Amino acid sequence: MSNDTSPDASSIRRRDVLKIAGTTGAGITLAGCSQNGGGNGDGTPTPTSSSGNGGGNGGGGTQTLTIGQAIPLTGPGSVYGQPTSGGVTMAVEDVNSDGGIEVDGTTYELEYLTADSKCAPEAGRNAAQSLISNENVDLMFGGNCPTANLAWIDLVKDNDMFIVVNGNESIELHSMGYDYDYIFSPFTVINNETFPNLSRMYPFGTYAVKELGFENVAFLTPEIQYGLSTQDAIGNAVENAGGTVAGKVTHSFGASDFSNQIAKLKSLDADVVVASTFPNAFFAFLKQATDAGLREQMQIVSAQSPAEEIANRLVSDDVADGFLDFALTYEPAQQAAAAGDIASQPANRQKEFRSRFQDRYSERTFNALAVSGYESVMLLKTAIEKAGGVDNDSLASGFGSISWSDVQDFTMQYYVPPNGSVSGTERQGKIFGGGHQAFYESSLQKWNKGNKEYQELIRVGPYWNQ
Amino acid sequence: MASPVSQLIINGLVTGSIYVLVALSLSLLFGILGIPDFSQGALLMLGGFSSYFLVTDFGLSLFFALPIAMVLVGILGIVEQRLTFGYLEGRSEVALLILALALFIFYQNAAAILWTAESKTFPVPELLDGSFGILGGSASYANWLAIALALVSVVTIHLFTRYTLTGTAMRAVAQDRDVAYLMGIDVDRISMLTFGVASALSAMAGGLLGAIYSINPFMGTSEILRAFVIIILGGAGNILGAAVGALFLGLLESFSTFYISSKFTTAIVFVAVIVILVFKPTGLGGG
Repeated sequence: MSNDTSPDASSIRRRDVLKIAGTTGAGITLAGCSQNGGGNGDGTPTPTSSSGNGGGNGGGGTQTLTIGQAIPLTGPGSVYGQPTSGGVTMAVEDVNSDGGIEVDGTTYELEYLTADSKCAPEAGRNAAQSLISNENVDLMFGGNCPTANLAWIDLVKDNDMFIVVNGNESIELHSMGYDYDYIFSPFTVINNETFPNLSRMYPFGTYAVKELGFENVAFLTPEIQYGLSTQDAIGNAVENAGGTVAGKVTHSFGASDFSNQIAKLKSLDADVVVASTFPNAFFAFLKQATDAGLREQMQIVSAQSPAEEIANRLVSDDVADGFLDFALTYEPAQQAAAAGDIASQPANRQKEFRSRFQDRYSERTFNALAVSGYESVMLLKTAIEKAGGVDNDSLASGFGSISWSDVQDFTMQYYVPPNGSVSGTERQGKIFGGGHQAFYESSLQKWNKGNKEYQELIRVGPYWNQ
Repeated sequence: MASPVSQLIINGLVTGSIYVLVALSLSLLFGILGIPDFSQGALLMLGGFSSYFLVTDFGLSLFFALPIAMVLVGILGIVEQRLTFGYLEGRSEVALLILALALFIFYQNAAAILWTAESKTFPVPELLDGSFGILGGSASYANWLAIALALVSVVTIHLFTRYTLTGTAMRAVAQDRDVAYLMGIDVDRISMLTFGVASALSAMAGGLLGAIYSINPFMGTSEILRAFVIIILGGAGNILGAAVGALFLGLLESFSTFYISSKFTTAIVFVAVIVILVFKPTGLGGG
């Protein structure tokens, strides 16, 4: 090595450069594969809970119904996969301890098998293939990771299986117009914003202009399709409401340095920036924006639910103070229930479930995905009982007929108005409508002062597609 | 509205400073020992986590936690050399690369299992709380500290390798390992020392990243990939070249993110590398 320009021993020959470049290229490729879990993929299923033998449909006695889920259990996606699998596991155990699912003289006990998708297409496909072909699971749950899920969804169709997709990938599936009869995929969830249906983002833009008085709106989102589409959806609403879009700024997925994005936002003539990004990224941005003085120039609004536990760990209370959040998270849900704005039973059940989950899985973060995982199993149980069978047609029929009265004793997240619009206190009717659109009532909430204060419940209806 | 150029330059310098530290680490290992040690990206992460635990669990100030973390990870680097790389030094580059990748993946996933995949932050000392501006741009005191430490590291390593006996021995090993051995240089000791120093530099980068942003088990990936680009730009084994390359990269990313888009930043960086290598295959710092 050298620190001067001596030409002899320290100079690098052209072939050395090519060697270095080739080595680097191989290294980059292999490192990229390792990050995405490609190549080998851990297809080995892990029995998360089990009971009984075999699987199947009808016949009397006790049978096992096996649910398979290719889900990110390691890697960056595990922050989504671990809570989900925890929720499903707890639900399976609750169902089995209650005696299973009774249908026409047959008792079905549930078994839940997972395989690590690593949130990567190759690993996800291997994991799903293993569950379907080696473990012969009876049905699949979606894996909460669109990248991986979309890589293996055709396996479900090819094997004529039923799939319950209650996660992020439902948005992509509906955008794609995925055509398959044996899929249940609700694409919006009430009372937590983890899986925002893009059309639901529209009211944020309208409300921001008409009610909060923001005229020039800037955006900060991840540069993946979800983020870009979010900018378009809210931006259209802003312009239709009479506001202007001051600029659209993106950041790379997983970014933690927002200094350049902040510099860009500062150069825009905006009075608000709508940051629709993942919780970790949002709070990193919030802290850096505070340090850089961006908040003296514009209001910061989060259009995605930052969970309180993430907020508490990632930023101090004084940094969390003063930003607006278009989302309803757990503590505000309790407060909204106490104020009578929403029904109290789901919020109370959620609180209790959270406590159980945290006692059971102290090392995992509790978030909306744990709730969703739990409720996926409960919805499955409800669908089977309503339809009286576990075959694909019965499941499709059962899911399609679920109404508010079917879920009101267990749901922690669904609030169903009678006709899909803003309602009063009476709730009836189907919980999922055409295309599995889940109806909801009060999905927008404005809260201020970090995570400590519930301010106002914003009902979606008046701001929908105006 | 004030021109953002000053701010972009400061942003670029901050980013470049982190890259400088990792690039120095890699430049030492690749330049002296010929080892493309990808695992330095994971050691950066371990430096971040060490700093985090020292601050949050032991209540130490970052000013103490950071050097302790550097020592701890430096020792880990030496252990790594003794138990793994030491057996392959001077041999197949492909085997070294695979070993480095294996360690990289192992460390990251072990950290994710032990400490979960979520991001964590830790408080900075009051002395670093706040920001300082110059010529229309500003940065937090922690950012300025990163710039200062990067500068000190470059100067220290440069002077060390150029003017000390051990540094001269390092350069001798870099030129010809076998001849250096024949000349009586303890090549094993040089190797251990190089790993220790390089790992400590990576740990410093990780601790600073944690203080400025946050830590997670998968941090260090983009930094190590950029470090490889930087040593190509700057010339492998060329300390000052690596520093120049790192700062160039930081500024390029800063300006391209602002004036074009973050979507194209990585592509722009690699196009720049290709263009430079076409016209100057020995890199910006090569002879």
